[in-house]
Amino acid sequence: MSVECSYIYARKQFDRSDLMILSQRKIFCVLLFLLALGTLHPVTAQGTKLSGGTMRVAFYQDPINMNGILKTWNPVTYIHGVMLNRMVTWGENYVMKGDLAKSWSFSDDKRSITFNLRNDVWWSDGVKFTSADVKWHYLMLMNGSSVGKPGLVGLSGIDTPDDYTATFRFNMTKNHYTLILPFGLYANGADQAILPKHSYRWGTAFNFTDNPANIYMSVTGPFKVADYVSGQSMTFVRNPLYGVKSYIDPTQGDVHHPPYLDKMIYQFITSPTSAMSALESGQIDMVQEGQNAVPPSDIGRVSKLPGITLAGTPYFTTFRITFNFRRETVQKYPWINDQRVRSAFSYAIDRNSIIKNVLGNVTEPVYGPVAPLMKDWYNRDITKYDFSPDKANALLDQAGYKKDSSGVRFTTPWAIYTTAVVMAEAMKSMLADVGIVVQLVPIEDTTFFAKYETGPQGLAEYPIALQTFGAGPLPFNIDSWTSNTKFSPGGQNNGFYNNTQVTQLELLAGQTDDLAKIKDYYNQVQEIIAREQPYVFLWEFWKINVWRSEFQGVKESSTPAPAWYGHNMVEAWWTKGTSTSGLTAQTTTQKASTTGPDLGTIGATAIVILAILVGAVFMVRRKSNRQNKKA
Amino acid sequence: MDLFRYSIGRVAQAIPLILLLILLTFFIVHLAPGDPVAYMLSGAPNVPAEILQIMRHQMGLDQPIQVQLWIYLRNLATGNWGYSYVYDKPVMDIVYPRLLNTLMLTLLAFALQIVVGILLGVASAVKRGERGDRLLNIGTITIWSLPTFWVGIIMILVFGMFLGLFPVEGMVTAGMSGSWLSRWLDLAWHAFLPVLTLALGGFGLYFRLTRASMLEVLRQDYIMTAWGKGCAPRTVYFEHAFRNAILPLVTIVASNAGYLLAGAVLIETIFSWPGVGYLLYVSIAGRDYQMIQLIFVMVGVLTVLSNLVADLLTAFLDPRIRYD
Repeated sequence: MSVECSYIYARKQFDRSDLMILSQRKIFCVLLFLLALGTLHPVTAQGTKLSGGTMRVAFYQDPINMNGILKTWNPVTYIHGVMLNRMVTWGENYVMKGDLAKSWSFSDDKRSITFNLRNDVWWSDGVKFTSADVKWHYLMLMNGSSVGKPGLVGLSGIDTPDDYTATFRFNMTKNHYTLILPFGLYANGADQAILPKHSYRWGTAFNFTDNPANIYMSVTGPFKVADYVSGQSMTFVRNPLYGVKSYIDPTQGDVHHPPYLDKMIYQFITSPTSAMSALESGQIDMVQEGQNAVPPSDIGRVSKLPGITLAGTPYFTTFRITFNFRRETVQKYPWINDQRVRSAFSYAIDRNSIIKNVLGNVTEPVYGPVAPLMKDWYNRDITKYDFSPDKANALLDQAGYKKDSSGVRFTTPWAIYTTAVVMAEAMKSMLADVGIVVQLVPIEDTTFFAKYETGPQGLAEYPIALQTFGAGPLPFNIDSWTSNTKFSPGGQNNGFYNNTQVTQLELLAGQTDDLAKIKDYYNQVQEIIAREQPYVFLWEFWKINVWRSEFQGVKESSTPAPAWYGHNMVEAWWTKGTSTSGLTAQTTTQKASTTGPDLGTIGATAIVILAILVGAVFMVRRKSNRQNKKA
Repeated sequence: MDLFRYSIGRVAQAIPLILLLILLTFFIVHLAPGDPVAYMLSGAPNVPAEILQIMRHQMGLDQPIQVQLWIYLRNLATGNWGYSYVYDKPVMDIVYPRLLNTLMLTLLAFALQIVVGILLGVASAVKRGERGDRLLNIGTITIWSLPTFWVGIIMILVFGMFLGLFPVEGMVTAGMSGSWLSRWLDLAWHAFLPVLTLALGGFGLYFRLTRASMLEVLRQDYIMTAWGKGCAPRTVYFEHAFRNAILPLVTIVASNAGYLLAGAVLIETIFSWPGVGYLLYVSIAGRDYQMIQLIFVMVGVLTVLSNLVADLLTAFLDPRIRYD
């Protein structure tokens, strides 16, 4: 009996182990096969620029309407980068250069500006771009109320003596800058992208406001809209004439090739966190700059991710701490009026450390009102406030704000945008080290802008606030927050900084066209403001783009000018594209993942299902073995 | 009083409630600092102050609030829910397609949480005190106590990013073309994680309620009688016990229908699902007043109506309830 039993047991053991070995082998082979399936790619990467492919871009907001005159807001400005051009734009070091205009000249009386237009530009439907488009565009702009309109105040007529000349006449004298600025950069720039007149023809009449052309318009840029799903996505395909008949790229000079990518799909993802998740999981290829495309707290981490490229583009706004000189606020917080205290704030903050540890090392410290990247205008000799807690402590002691027994000199509330909490927290601990205790008051961005940046009381009850403001591309841009004629709400001087000498210098600079004099006046302004520290200037605001490294040429499509206008993507290419020769042909290569689950996904799903099945089989077998044993 | 009269009375009570809701919504939305102009131009450097004034004038935002309210009510009386400042379209044109997207998400989740919650609740009550019951109790309480947005983020991390099994944003693959079947599969693929997240958020409630209600009923004398008569367990549990235990559930299910719209705000935002919740999130940031008002009113009306339906259903199902 016992012999028989042991034989049966041994036989069972043999069968079971044999079965398990076979099963494991089979499972191993299936797993290997599935893994191989999941890692297959249709085309391997090449070193040269390839054509084809689709880039999926996460963008923070549906632009709603691509007619910048009707919809003058930032999302339109950004996306215009791939489809439209302006008369002029900004080149290297933010020097103005031609875009649709080849050149321009001013009349002697400084009441008119004449543009010589390019004669080699076609709209994507084959119609030639002419001065008629320019005239019609600006007449429509003046009929509306977009943000660019005040820049053209005094416009009395537009003459188009031939197809490639357009003269804008004004009934008042302007300086050269105020004559040229409204044609390339004014306010948020959405309404200066020239629209195609012929696209708006509706039978015999023009229909401007309710026209499919407001989305599906002819373009001069590299891509045109092929599909738009409200609130979800906007799909662009190549402009077939770009690089064949028309070739414009303000960043690269003339481009004699079509865009490399077949398609670009802008997917509207409002949450920066969701956009980053989609990028990291490979479901989109790029998170484009926009409002907090990459949260500041995430920049350091994202910059280290394998297969991901993060690049900052210098921009002409700067972060700063604004002191509030409003009478009621100064009465409550008298230290605001003491220059030594303000300087102590500046010395106490380690800009380089925050840039390195919080901001992913993608920006530069700033010490004055003009951004250093405005190389022609930046005054290198202004007072610098390198990190020095010792100097900060000494200045605070001199000012009479001694530390109490708990090491605190004074306490102050500090208004910040909700999106700036991480960097503010870093500064808070640095200020605490010199005895200044700040209580952060995060305020939602729209509320902050409406109430404290453009409201009648400026920063109201807050003694200090963290803000960003324009510090270029021309020095005149700082007037709106440094002049005593620009107090809130008429201007952006919401800290009520009042220095008559600064205002006088700015007025003098606005009255001359002599570049040397303008530079001299603004050098003085920069020196005064850096010395007086009505603001603690912190670092440049860099726009951050992040994309999958299998796409290249993105940065070349964006530096430097379209940092403002958005990328034109003409140099962007996919390393898994198909050919170098078929640039003019519409290639049909599509990324597998854009049409549903890819092989990798199927493989991974199969692995999970298989693992569950194997687990279930083992469980059942174990249970039956137990029952056998019991029996 | 018969059921019809009772229903008319309840509807009549709901009308002033909805009117009050419209007024309250208007004031709450307008009391928030900032306006659509501030949103549209925030982040743009050097915007001239006169532009802000021009745009506010164009949108009628420089009018006194009582004038704006009067215009709003006058438009409502003619069936005009208003115009979106951000989308430049009538708000109903924007909300309607999003409403369908939201209902697709929430109805699926709602159905899933009710069916799974009730079935597991019954099973748990029947197997009271056993290992399965204990596991279900601990599991459901754990899931129920987790914030839904956190569960959503974990779902994205695990199934979207680490395993790469499901998409983490959107409702369809942008730019996709193919047969209707592939498009439906694509939709289902995108809907899986948000539906599951939403369902997990609510299923604990139905599980707990069903279990408690079943346990209560199973203690009743008539259940003992059924056992005594020699009824089969299936008959006792489903014919006698479950039918009586379902009454409190009907009330809760019906009154929770208001969350079909409101409950999806976080999930739609996390998964970028183009529904009403996501639209509400974007509209609040953009101070798109009339859009916010419409969505708030829709949620309010749905809540009032679902409570009404809950009352009527309870009254209909339980003949002991008197209509007064």
